[in-house]
Amino acid sequence: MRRWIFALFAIVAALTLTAAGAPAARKLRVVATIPDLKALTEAVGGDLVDVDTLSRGTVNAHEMEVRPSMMLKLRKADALVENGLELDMWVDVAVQGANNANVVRGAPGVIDISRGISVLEVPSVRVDRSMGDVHPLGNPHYSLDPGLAPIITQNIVDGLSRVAPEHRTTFEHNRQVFLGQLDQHMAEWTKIMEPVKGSKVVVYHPQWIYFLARFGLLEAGWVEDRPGIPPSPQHLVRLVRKMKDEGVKALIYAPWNDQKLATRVAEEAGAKTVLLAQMVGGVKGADSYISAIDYNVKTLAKALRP
Amino acid sequence: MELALFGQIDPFARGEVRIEAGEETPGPETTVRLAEAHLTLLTLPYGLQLKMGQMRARFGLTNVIHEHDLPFVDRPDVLRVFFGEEGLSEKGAEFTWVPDLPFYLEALAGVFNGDNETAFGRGKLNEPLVTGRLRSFLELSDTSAIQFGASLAHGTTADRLRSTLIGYEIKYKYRPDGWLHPLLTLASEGIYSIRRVEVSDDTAVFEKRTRDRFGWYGHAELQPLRRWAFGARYDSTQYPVNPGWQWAVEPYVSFFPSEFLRFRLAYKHTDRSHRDGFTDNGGSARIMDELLFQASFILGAHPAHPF
Repeated sequence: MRRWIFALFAIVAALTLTAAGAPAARKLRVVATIPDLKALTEAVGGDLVDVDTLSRGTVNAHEMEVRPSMMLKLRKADALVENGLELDMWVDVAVQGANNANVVRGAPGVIDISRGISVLEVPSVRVDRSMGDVHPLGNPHYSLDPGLAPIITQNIVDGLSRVAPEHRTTFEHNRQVFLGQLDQHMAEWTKIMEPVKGSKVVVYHPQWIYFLARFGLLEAGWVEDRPGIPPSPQHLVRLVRKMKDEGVKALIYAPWNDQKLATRVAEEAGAKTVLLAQMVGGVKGADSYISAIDYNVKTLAKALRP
Repeated sequence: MELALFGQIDPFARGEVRIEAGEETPGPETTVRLAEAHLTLLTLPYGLQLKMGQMRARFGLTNVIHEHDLPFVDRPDVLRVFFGEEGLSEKGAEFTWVPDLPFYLEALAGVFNGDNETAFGRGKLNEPLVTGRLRSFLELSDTSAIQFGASLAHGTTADRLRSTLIGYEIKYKYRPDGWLHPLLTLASEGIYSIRRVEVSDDTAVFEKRTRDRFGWYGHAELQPLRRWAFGARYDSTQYPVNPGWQWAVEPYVSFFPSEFLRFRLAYKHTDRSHRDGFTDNGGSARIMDELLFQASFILGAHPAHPF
């Protein structure tokens, strides 16, 4: 037994010596769970941060596969920016394998940007799995609404400032510059959407409600009759009938949805399919937060115009 | 049936308790047992983490996985032969270290009681079972990745003789961009056992010898559709002490109505070099054909998808 105790001490001593040579001053290493949060954290952090993301814009953020490469990114992180509302719960498993106290739940470096968001579609009845993969805390896809960027970026400023309080002024300045740019675009987007305001659309998965609500569009139905559950033929028949009856012109889907099914439903209902960027990087050209929203606004407006 | 309770205990630790209930032998009797109960200290410095309590040791790919979460119906033969039906489940502690390197490397060291009667069985802390594992991971592209590693378990048998098991593991996954599931999964793990045994000759004189034995499996799964997966596993293993070997092939099909419900149907053909020791469950024949059906469901939170 004595041998094992000595061996353990030797390992701990070796690790202590290894860690002693860590660099003193460097950029904050931040990991964001989804690309939208990476883009917004870069906007706030500017040159003071190196931001990486655990997922890509073309994949479903609900269904992320926890890879050790995520643990490697988190191992080195000073802060973790998460969406919350159970969209990115899988990050807890990656954190467990990262062995980094900075990103363990409860640490100052864990930044949940859902704080202060007026969450939509919070269930008012008891939720169970018969309803599909319903989020009991409400719809978590709020980053698609550019009108919520002031709250999101404020949470990022507060979170980064907990880790690096000496840079709060810079973070706040960067945020104001970004929000100024966003305001200019917002005026343009509102103008583009004005002629189609009040139009009804069908969505594949209920993830667009914040975006639609921001620009005065109405959600007439879902291709999935219950979130995350493949639709039944009966549901699709009813949906097509409803789309025809209500004059729905567009069916919105994301890159990870079943494009063939979306196309079939839209064709039968006499509507157009519209591929939108569910996140930054979701479609070609949507490589920043502003360009992703810009793409979504212009593409949808074009599809809805008479 | 498994009841899993897990969560953050405080800002520093996470706890997990798993209780299993089921029939150990065919019949009306149900046995309830504590499968795991451990806590993990998450905020140690220098990339360290400590897990302590009763746990499934992180040896290879599948030992740590509970029965219902396995990617096939039953535990691979090599693990059952070298660690017993329950696998390597022990009381003790595991340290992991993830160094700050440009690539992922996890180093693990464990100290356990050594209660596992199939591989060890001494069950005393002054002659502990020690384990080790190195695991790494290469992301070949956004859509494909490979994980590989090596494990070690060294302890003492009930006869106070040394027993060492060395394992390898490798797993490859290909998940096309935008897919909700992998299209192709390939995996293999193997165990090489070096075990001292006491043998007697015709004159009943006991002498100590070393048994070097090996077993492995290979697994492939194709999931072209979201709801359907097709796979097969090939097992081949020697026995840790007795002479002989067995191989088996097990094709299966899985159907997933949702994330929370899965049905799996498998056929398994096993061929042994000789009859296994007599048992009353009919599974001791030299050649054995089995039809296996499994229905798994989850009540509770949406599970994460580990690699």
